[in-house]
Amino acid sequence: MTSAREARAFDDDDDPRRRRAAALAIALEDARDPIARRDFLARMGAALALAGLGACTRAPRQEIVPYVVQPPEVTPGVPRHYATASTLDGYAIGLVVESHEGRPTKIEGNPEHPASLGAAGAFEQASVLSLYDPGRARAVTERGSVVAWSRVEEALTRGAWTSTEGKGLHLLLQPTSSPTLAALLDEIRERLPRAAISFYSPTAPENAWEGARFAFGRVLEPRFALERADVVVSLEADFLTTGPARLRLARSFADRRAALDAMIRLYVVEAICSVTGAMADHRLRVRSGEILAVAAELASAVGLPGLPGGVPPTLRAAAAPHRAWIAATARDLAAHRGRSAVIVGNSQPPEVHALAHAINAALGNLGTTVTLAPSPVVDAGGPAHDTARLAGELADGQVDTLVVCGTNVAYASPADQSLGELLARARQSAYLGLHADETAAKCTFVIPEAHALESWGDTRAFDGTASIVQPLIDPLFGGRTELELLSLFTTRRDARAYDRVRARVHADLTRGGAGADLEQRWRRALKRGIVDDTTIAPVDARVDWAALAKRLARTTPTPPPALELVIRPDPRVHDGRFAANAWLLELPHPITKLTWANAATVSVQAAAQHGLETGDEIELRASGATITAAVIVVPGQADGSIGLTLGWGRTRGAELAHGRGANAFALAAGVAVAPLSVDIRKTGARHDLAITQRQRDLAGRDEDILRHATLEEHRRSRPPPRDEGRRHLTLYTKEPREDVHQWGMAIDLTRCTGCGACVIACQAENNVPTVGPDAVYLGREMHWLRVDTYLVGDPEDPEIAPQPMLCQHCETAPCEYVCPVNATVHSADGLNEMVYNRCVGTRFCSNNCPYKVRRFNWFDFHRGEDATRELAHNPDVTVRQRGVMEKCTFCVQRLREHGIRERQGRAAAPPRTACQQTCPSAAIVFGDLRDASSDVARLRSDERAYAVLGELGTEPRVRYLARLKNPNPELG
Amino acid sequence: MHGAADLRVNLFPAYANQIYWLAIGSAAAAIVGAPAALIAWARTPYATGQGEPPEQPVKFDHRHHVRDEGIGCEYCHGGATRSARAGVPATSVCVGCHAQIWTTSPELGRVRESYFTNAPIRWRRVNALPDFVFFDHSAHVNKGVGCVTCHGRVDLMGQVYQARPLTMRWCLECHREPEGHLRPLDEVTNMEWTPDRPQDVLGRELRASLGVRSIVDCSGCHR
Repeated sequence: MTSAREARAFDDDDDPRRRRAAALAIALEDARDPIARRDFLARMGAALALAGLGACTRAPRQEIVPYVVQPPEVTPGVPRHYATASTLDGYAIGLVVESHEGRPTKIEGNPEHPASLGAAGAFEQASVLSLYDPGRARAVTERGSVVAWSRVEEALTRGAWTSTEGKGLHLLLQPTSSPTLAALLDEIRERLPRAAISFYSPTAPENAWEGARFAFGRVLEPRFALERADVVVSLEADFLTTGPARLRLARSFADRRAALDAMIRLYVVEAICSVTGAMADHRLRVRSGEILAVAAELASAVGLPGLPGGVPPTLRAAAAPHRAWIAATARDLAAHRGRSAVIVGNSQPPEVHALAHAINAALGNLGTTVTLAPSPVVDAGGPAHDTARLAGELADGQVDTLVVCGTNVAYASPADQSLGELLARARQSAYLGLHADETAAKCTFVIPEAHALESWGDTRAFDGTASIVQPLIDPLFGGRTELELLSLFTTRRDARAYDRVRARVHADLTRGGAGADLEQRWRRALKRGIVDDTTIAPVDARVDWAALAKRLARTTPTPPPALELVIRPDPRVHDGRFAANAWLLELPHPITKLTWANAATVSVQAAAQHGLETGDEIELRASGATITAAVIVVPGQADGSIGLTLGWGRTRGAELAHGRGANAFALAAGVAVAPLSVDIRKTGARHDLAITQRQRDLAGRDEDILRHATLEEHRRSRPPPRDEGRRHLTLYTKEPREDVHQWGMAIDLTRCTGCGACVIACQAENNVPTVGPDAVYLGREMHWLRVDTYLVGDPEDPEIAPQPMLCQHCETAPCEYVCPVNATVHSADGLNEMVYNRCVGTRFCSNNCPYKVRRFNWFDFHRGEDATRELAHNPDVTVRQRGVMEKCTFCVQRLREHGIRERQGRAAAPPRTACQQTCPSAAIVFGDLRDASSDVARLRSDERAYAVLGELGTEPRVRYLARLKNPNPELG
Repeated sequence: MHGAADLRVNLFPAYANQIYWLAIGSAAAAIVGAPAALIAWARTPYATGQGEPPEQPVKFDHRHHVRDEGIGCEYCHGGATRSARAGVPATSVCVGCHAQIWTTSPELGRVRESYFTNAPIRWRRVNALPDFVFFDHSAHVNKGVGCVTCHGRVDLMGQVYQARPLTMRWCLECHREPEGHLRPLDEVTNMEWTPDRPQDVLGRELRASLGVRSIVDCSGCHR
């Protein structure tokens, strides 16, 4: 170390005096260093010699702290499950939360809830970590100083607006579908008719609402019944991972994907590779700004007989290069009238949404695969969802009291609106938020918000189904809910959220006729997680062709910029609201596999043109602002598009994410705005990107690793090569035992979308630590379950094929033979067991594992964890320490629990692994292989089933089913 | 040449060899002996905590409650039949009786304080297993393993102490051959039960009738 520095110092300077001075400085520095190298070695030797003595201390006595009065429903050691719901952009996902003695630890989907169907996505799975985030706002503050709640109460309810019917009072909320909140807002409007209420989320579906207004004359939301669809066209809609029905659509799409006799076909038109795009049979990569032309051309090719004058040719001129592709797609759609659907992404302008409605109407899809219904979101499509009025009033100094609830508007709004700057113009402002974030810094009062798992409330799903949000735990940091804060502006200031929700739901329940069993029905609604008879019935909507024609005639297509910037919500942090969540920060992006940051994505051709490669830093200039971002080259992206996701580059309230990634909001960009013209310039700097998978091609080993084929190829090659035919000679005889369960798993790659929900579910269930970007960069991430995503075929426009990879529980496991201390062994029921207390960390097993699924604890990742954070741990799983190998256990804690119950004659349903339970597309199936009628046994004997690297003779208990696609023969 | 003659002087006395061999010998003994000593030490009752009652916040006497009053194990530790944890009773369970009797006993001051201030009593754990061991009470008591088998004669303990070593070797003795430690289900909480037939005969019968498995998979206890 010293010599290297010396050499550098001496080399750098010609003047001998200065050289000597530099050498002296280094010597002094070494002298000041309290631990010199020799000392260090001596101490290390002594420490080593004394380390053994550590075993001579006795573990300290633990305490047992029983209840004072034990709730009758609680048995310590037996978890309980409660139904609740989480809300994103106003739409609910029903959840079932596992609670250990009042401590929520694990989120699952609610099988009865229409938006969940038992699945939960990465956001929902990770929400339990957000609950225990020690970085949450903990105290009510006024300009940074802690104050009493009464001070806020007093200040907020006073102001000029009290005498002017509310003029000067402005409430800014997140889009909401809560019936109780809606009723509360009505109360406020009645009492203070001139108070302004607005809703803001950068990812609200405003274009979709506006598009419906173009087509139908009113705001309606399309619902898709993919289970009845044969052909689906997505115009930049990532419907499998975004949107209010994402989990439901993923399930119905996968069900029709795996039905080989009636396999759904998917066309996707998009600029930036998405999860949905990766599932497409035909993916047309065009710039985002050209999709209007594609939609118009498609409409014209399908034929809109109702539209006076047809689709204006000017609109579709830009789609000329893709005419053949569009014509083939249109013919396929036309051949499936009433059994097809066109879905449009939120990022597309309202005209595209309107055209899609028109196409669906012309194809007779309305009422079959596509139904239309009013939005469950309060004031959907109304002026309250436009923040321009708020910005104007703030700028004019007309806002006396501003209350911001839950939306981090100072960060998550386009820079050109400068809402963040304007917040300070209000005489006083209050921010109710989970974190003291960018918005908190601009507001007078900061009020800690109660997490959804700490709150009473209600919310509605995409189809209107209402769910009660019930708390699993008292607010950890004394947080308050939106309902409680906004009650200040009603006449019932002290009404508890519980009383409001209860009254509201009681009203719902009695609508169909009052009953004496009201209490019972309330309890039933709480228990099931959904309130009966609250769905919003679809309406019989007709396209207003004349108005649409007028609208389209008025639309002049703007020529797309040479290089466009396309902004997407981030699959991990969304719009930045999850940026304090380490699980989500470390979740690899489904396409780029990047963790802990976002990056500007460019196509192979664009990268070559600008001399860029992955890791280069570029400067992005758009609408007068400049940011820098790292580059990732993504094959398959449109050549004229730069992709960037929202939510990164946070500066306050999300310590883990501060300074990571680039802030797209700084470019005055949002999801719902037209793509910006952008200039890029290479800065010459490099970024060490924490990418989890750098080998993206299969190196010609498709048959061994990820089998993929078209449906036609699969039918022709029936039966495909089977592993059983080439069983290898082995010295080891392992006869599966018949007297116990034989656990196995099957993963259907035709269903898997690669969304990553399983990764977070596994992390939550198994106390898997996060390691941070530097460790990920070194390849030391700890995920027991990862999703490998391979790029197959054309290097510039490949097929993107995800493959969940976890411990394969080989029957002849290579890891077991090399462990010198028998820390990894086989169980009677076929698990490859990992015994942490035996492991001495030689890592031989990991070296010998052909699947590279074993993870080593290089550090004590859990040591020093905040006591609050520790509450998130699953008490049924060991928290591993440094020097220990770990890997997927098939959720052995669930299996053993099931076994114990089963042998006592009180077993419930068959056990499921965490990844299986949460998988939105039901791609993961787990079960007992002895039972020939079980799903897993059936799938294992499917002709698509194969073992990854089967030629090694490891006889894995995990089998994959080949990924099949259903391309249109006409497009080849 | 002059200096070379000086160097021929014998630097080490004759006994230096003995010191040398002694040093080598003790180093070798230490290498073998030190781990052996540690291993042996870990098995001593001192290290396992066996037989040593911790001071509890309330001087609860099992002799009195179990023998004199005839209160069964499950009255207070009912979780044992349906949960991994047998559980320690809530303060309200104590107060259930002690609201009627011994209402002013100074020994029960902490119990009353807990009940009226809603502050739980912090008991000290007697039978502790490492955090990587997942023991399930219900799996044992529903399969004919008596309380006394692992906890000893709690009914004779003034202050509860750990009666067995609770080492893995001790667990495995039974897990490998459960027959030697099984009893009829209705005798599980009986502290004084003795088999009316030879234990190996009865054990085999019970093992068959209760469906007791010999669980020696690592993940049976380590997860």
